[in-house]
Amino acid sequence: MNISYRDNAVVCTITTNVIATNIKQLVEEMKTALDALKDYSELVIDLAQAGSIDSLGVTFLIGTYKEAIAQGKKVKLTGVSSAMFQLFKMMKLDEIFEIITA
Amino acid sequence: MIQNQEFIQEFVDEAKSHIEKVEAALLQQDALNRDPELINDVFRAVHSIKGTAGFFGLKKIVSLAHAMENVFGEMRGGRLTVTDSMVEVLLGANDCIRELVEDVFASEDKDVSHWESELNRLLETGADEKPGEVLNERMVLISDHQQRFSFEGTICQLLKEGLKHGHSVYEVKLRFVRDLLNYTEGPVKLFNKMDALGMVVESFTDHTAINSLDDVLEAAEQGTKDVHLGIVVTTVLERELFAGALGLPLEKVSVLRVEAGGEADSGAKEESKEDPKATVEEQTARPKETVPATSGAARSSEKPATGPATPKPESGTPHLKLDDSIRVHVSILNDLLDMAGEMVLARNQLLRTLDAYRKTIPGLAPILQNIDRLTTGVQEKIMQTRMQPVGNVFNKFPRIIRDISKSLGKEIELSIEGEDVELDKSIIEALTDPLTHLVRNAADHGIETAEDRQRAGKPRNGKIGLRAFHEGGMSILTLPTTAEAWTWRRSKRWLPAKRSSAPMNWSA
Repeated sequence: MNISYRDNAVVCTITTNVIATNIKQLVEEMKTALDALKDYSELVIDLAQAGSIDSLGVTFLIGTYKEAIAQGKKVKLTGVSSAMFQLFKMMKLDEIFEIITA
Repeated sequence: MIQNQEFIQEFVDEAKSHIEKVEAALLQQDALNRDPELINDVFRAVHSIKGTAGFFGLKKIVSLAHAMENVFGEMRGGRLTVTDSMVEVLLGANDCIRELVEDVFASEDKDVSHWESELNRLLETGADEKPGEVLNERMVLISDHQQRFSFEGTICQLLKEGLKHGHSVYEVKLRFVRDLLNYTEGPVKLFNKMDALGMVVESFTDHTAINSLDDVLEAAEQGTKDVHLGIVVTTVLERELFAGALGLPLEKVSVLRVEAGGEADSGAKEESKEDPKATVEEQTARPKETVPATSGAARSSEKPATGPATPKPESGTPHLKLDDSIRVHVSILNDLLDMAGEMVLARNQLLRTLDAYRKTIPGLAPILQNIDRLTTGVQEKIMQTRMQPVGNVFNKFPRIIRDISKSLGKEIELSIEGEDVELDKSIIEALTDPLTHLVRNAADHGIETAEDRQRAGKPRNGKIGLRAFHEGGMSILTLPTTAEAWTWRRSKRWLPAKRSSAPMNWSA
């Protein structure tokens, strides 16, 4: 995961599959991003380079969202493929995340 | 694709009848715009084709039926008005499904992309500004463990119609990590499959147990915390088949039933303010931030406490609607008919042989009378099973007339009467080709173009009538424009009922 900072946002570009085998590493990296978020108002998770996502990956996004919201920050998902978007829609996650498709 | 010949043949037979139904409805363009029940019928027919084809893994049929279903769904919601060009596309797509069904084993090699894109184009360009009709209906479904789901508007109507016609409604309950992670094909494919087998009506996610990244790790490592997903699906498939086709354990799929008095519409407004489509009436199923974190776990633990293992369905539950007809292969009916014929001969021999003993053997006469009566009854009933409504032939003609009218620039009005008159299957089959020829000829050569008719001072549209009726023990079919009626006589020969010397006035 690459972490960068843009205007008032922390941008996390996920470069691996968001799947069970990578979750531990993704959680550690995201914790770093969330620590940095206190000086910013928005967390952007860019999924354009993420190949695929499984249900634990979706759980990871939910956990991230909850922590960011607890800090009073906004969360935005960008680069979401149409297949991923359909999945989020089916799970009604489009109602909690701001989603920008690829 | 499932290769079981017997099951596939059953699907083919069923799909053909649905296709006929769709075609017949499409040919009543005005009625489609007026009669919501007709649109519902068509929607259900296409939905049934899609559901069963999905079970067999017939992806091309599923995909095309799905595209048609989308269009009919928009029509049903009042967001699309049925136009002539729309009917043209839908008839073409319906013909394409017919071809796929008729050659079902090669259907996966066919290209359906043309009709799919045509149908999608209808959705993109055909929508007018007319807002959907607001429906005030409401329905409450209840699961085995007493969870209640409230639906209203179009979804309610859709569910109601589905239940009325024997469709089932299921709640599929899955946990993100413990269930979905083990689903080898991945969640996207699972949802696609669900959509192919039926129609996903509503879904809800309870993620109250996951509040931090540490919870995510706990979910991954220990499985003690999880996200709960519930999906409400309606399908023609039985619960076991549906679960099997999805590759899910049976306990993940539970039946939703209509709650007694759940179709009342009072009070629906207040409940539905949050979500226009559906409300899950227990808080535990709602993805609300305010819901206590324990609710997800509470929901999953409710089942053994409150839900009986095999609940007895309430009387009058639409899910248990029994069909009053079954499919029987024609060869079995033919064998039965042959045997009934033999039985009649045997009865006659028996009666002749024992006739002399009627008075000498006490009790013989009533026994012989009984055998006589029963044998006649069996023969008549078996003959009845082969009877089919003449409408089976007549119903092909509106499409033929429509196509001829379009291609030749004619305006032809076809009137059909007596579709319910029944004839033996063999006669129906024998009638199909000659009647088709007669009707085609009448349309082709008997009726002038609209312009020619107008010039001759006639109404622009010519009329062709088909009529079947019983009279004096005979079944009579007439094609009035020919000025001749043909009669099926008991002698099993077709004879002109009236040898008319009147000139054939095809355009009358």
